[in-house]
Amino acid sequence: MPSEGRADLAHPEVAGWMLGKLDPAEAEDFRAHLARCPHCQAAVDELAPVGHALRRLPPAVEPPPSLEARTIARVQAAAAGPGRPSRARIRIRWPRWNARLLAATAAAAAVIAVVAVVLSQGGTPARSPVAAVIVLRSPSSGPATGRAVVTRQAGGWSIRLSVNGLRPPGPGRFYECWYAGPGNRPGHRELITAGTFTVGQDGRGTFTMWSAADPHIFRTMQITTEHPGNARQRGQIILTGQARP
Amino acid sequence: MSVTDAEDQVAAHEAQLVAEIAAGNIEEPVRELYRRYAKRLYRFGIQVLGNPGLAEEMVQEAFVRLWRTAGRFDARRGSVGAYLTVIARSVAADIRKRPSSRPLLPVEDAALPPAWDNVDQILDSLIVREALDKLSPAHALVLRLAQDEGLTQSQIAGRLGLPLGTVKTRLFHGMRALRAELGRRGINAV
Repeated sequence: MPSEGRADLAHPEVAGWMLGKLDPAEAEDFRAHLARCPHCQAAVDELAPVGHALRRLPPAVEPPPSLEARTIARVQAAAAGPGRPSRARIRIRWPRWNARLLAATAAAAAVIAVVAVVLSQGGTPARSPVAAVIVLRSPSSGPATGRAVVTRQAGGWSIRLSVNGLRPPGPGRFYECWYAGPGNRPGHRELITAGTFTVGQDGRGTFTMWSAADPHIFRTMQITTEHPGNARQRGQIILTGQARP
Repeated sequence: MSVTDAEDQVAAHEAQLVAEIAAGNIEEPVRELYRRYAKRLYRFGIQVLGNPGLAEEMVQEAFVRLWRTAGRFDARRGSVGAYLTVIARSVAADIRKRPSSRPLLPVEDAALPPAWDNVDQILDSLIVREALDKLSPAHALVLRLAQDEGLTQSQIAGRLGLPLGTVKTRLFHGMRALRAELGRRGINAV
């Protein structure tokens, strides 16, 4: 029968007693106390599963630092090989998920969300494959390059944009990503913005942006330099590319 | 931002990373997912394979299989983290079947990796370890010293230069915080 005491009012000694961390004399004293303290009895009831879980803790081992680079290299080597095998050769069988694993992963993800820079806004879980990939080049043969992967989402398209070799845009300026429609030309703008970003001295970055523009219609992507207060495209096109399915 | 919103955003972001891998953009998406999940996968490998070298191999192969199957990942069926765990479990099973990963000489039971039917318990215990990592540093430290190093409360107080009463209080509140954290992760400690 659950104790009628309140665990939050328990003697703090209860934790050490449950984990077996009291000295023998302390443990004997606490045992006597527990027999007459409803609050400590409530705490024992409440914390028993935690004590059990702690006793089964796996070792706090860390993967060696070099494993990250070796793992990425191994995936890259596999990708550089003959390609992905056919569907028949590799099967990942999803079990009937036990709620713990799903909840654990979701909770861990939520924690990550709180501490990480949230790159996207207002999204729902991705449910569709890549809609288009856009390789971006400098129209003036400059060193900058980029790559955008466009994924269909419930509310439009998300764009994962990676850029390299860009100069920092300068004080008060930023880069803007645009989709251009088939009729876009000087004097007849057919543009939809996908978002803005900036880069540091290393000239690189990876950004997630959102747009309602269908990349199958607005197939041209352009990156320009802009400045605040300017809602139109006026800057120089630094990168451009065509969506391919 | 609510927890549900945060979960949705992270799930969408991670699904997009997998979509990028499927599209052939490997380095940065793999790196990001590795940094999120390698610790869990590695500890799982240590637990089920009992060998750091095999655990490392398991982690690497898990990400290779993620690349190979990325195009078929379906976010409606589960999260990327859960998907990676399923892959790792499959890789570990393959490694365990391989004759070269078995000990050639008789060894004490304690030196053997755990039986395969304990895998669910191992996954639970890894979740406990991850939950412990999310506690405040003060709470997590005393619990780690108690469990990982086997110190008594008095020894913890001596190690940290804290009054014994403070250590007792931190252990108590640390256990209560861990209970709440495990509850959020679906472990039945509430």
